[in-house]
Amino acid sequence: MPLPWALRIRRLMSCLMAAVCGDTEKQRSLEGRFNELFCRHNNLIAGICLSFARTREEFEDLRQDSLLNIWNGIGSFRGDSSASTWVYRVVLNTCVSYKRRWHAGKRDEEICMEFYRELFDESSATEELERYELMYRLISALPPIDKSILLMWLDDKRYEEIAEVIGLSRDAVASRLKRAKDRLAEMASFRT
Amino acid sequence: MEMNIDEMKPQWQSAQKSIKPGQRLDSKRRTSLQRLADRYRRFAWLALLMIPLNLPTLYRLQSLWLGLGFALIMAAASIMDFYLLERITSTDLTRMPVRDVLFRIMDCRKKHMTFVFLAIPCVFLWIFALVYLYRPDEYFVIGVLSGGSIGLLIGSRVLYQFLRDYREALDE
Repeated sequence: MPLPWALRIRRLMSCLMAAVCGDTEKQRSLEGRFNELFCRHNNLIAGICLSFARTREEFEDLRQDSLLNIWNGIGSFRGDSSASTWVYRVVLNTCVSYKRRWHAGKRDEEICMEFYRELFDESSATEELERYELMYRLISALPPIDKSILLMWLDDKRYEEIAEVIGLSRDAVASRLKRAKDRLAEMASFRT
Repeated sequence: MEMNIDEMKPQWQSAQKSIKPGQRLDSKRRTSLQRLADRYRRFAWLALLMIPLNLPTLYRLQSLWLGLGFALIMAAASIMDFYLLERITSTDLTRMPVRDVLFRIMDCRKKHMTFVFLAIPCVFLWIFALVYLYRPDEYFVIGVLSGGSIGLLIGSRVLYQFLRDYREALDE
């Protein structure tokens, strides 16, 4: 018959092993889910951040903050909505809550054509890049909520999904989307 | 170059496919909200610590009202920072709707600036009382006025930055 103290130590060791191995397995599972989300939605994250950023540094900040918030929140994602809708929620929330860094005596680099050449595929023609640049510039001029609604609409999300993520009614989403499109049309015709 | 709004959807989707993969996650960094929370936490504790750390100096001033005034201003600043810290840290970006997050952040900024606008006259009043009490000592007065001017310059720049950010989000 084992001594009580030996039994206690054995039980403690088995609990510790379960805790360590369990945690390691959980960590691996979270990493796997994050990598899957990253591979599938990396472009989406970049596109949203580009619509909100004014400078290169802001774009990189927003992108990294979005990835970090996705990583921190992935354990709590229960799959109530689709993965892309959840990613939209996290990235849009990151962008609207972003506080610009204040670099004393230093101006951040504005987003320009050279940045677009680095960001997009080498196969993209200059004319194509110029159209993208104009599109992102027009979108970034919209207020945050209208911009968020438009971005989800551009990605073929249903009005109900957009309403849930943004926190408005379906009718309000429709009316704000129309307002955003009218504003874009006005800005686009002004630029010609 | 012209932009037709009807063409925007296929253009957006085409742009998404053409973006190159970016850098991987840098897990050691802090997000913008985490940095803001860290700043509120730091200043909340700093303001609280200023009260006991300055007790010997306040005792030497030999004015109960100046000592009480200083303690009240610091305590109010600390409470405000702890309140804003709680609001920021309870913002769940993974669950809350976008509109709620935006309004909460703007509400925090509004409360922050309201407090600053209320606290500045109190601080000026306190400095004026201090200068009045020590007016025979000209070096002390020059020191207080110099420090106050530098603080005013730095504060004005921060205020300008804040008002610029606030004005853009107010478009909602």
